[in-house]
Amino acid sequence: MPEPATGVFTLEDLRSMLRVDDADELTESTVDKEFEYLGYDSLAKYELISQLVRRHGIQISEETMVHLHTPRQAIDHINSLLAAASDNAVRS
Amino acid sequence: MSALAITGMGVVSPTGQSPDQHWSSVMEGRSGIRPIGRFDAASYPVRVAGQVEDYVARGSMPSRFIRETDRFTQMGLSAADAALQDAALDPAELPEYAVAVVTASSSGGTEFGQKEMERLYQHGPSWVSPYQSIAWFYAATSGQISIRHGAKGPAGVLCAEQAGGLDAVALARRLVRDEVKAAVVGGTDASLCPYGLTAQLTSRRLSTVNEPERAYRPFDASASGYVPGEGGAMLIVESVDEARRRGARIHGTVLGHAAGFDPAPWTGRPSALRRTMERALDDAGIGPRDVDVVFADGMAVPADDADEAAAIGQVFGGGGVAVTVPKALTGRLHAGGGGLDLVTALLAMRHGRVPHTAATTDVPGSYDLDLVLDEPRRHPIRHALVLARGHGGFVSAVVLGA
Repeated sequence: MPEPATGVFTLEDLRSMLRVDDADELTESTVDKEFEYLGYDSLAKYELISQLVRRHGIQISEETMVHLHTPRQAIDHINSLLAAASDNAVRS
Repeated sequence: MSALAITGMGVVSPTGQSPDQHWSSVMEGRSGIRPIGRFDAASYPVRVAGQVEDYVARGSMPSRFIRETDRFTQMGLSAADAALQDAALDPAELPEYAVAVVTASSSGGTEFGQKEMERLYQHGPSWVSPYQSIAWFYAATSGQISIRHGAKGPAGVLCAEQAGGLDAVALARRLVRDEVKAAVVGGTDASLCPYGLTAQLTSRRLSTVNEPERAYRPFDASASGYVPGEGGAMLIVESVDEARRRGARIHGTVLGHAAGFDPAPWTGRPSALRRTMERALDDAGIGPRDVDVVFADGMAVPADDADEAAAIGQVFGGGGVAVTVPKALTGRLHAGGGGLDLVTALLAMRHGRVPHTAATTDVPGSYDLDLVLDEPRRHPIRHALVLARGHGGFVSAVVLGA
C-alpha cells in the first residue's frame, strides 16, 4: 500500500474535481498510477485546471499539467501552490 | 448481398428496458406516454412524451462514462451492453479491428449542452465542463461504445432523424460484408429537456393534445401530430455464416434496405415512400406478397398518414397487408425509433403475433389500410417491412426475414 497523499488538498478533493463517484475509482492504492492508465484524458486535466481556478484561485498552466503524470504528483503540486498562495496572503 | 444475422438486442424504451419487457408492453398495449416529468412543461404547447422514467445509468457503467456523456449516450451504452450480452459477443476477444459501431442520432447531447450553457451564462466559461466538447456530439454514442468495449473497427453516426436508425443498419450491413466480423448498430435519442423540446417544436408536427392516451394516434381520423419520446435500441449484427459458426442465436435477418428522399412539398411530386419500399423488396429479392406485416412510420399528421397509406396501397394493393404502428406506445424516438421497430418486428416474427396500434380506433376508409387494431393478431410472419420517415424528407425501409 503506497503512502497516502498528504496536505491541505486531499485525494477526496481531487476525486470531487474529477467528478469521481465510484468507490473503487481513483483510490489511495492507485494514487501513483499514471492518469492515462486510470482513464483520465486531456479533457479531465482541463476540467481540473478550470476547477482549481474557480474553487481555489490558483492557476496551473497546461504545460505544467502535462508533466503531472499521477494523481499524487498533481495533489503535491496543488498543495505547493496553495501553500505559496497562503504565504503571500499572510505577508500582504 | 449475403444475409445479415441479428444476434443481439438491447432496449431502453418507454415500454421497458429489455426486449422482453418491451414485448409484454406491446402485447398488452401498455403505453409509456405520460405527462413530461423531467422538467416543468406547463408553459410548453407539448406536455406529454414517451419517457423512460426509471432509467438509471449510475451503477451500470463506470462513472467516467456518466460524467462525460449525455443521457442519449448513456441509454445507448446500456442498450449496447445488453445487446452484446444477448449475442454472447465480447469485442475484446475478437481481432482488434473486427467490430464496427454504427449509431444514429438526431438531437445529439441536448440536455448535457443545456446544463453547460446554463453554467456558462450564470457563472462564466470556467464553469463549463470540458466534456461539453464531446458530449453534445452526434457521434458521442458510437465513440463511447467503441471505447467501453474495445471495438476498434470503423465507427460512425447517421443523422437522418427517424430514418437514421434504419440507415445505420444498412451501413453496418455493408461493413459486415466488406471488412468486419460484427457490428454494434442502432440508435438512441433523449432530448426531453426545455432546449431539446423547443427545437423539436419547429417541426410543427408535434401533438398539442395533452391527454396521454389520445395524444398520438397514427392513421386515426383524429390524428393530431406525434408525441416525442426518448430511448432506443441496439442490435448486434454479423454474417449468417459467422453467427452459425459460433453457434449464436439468430433473432432474424436483414434481407434488404433502401433509402430515399422526398421531393420538396411545393413540387407536388409524390413521396419517395413507394419507390423506397419497392427498392427494399428488390434488394431482398422478394415480392409484396411475401411480406406479412408492414411496420409503418405513422407520423399521425393527416397529410403524412394519407401519403403513407397511399404508398402502402400502391405497393401491396388496398388493404393488402397487415399494417401496425407500435411506436404509438413510445412516441417517436427519432434516431432511436428505427432500431426499436426492428426489435419489435423480430419479436413479432418469433411469437407469430402482429402487434396492434393501441391508440388508434377510427381509421378513415379512404386510407384503405388493414391497420391492426384493438388486439394483437395471431399470424405467422415470414417477412416484415419496417418503414421510417425522417423530418426534412428522409425515407428508409428495411426488410427482415426469419
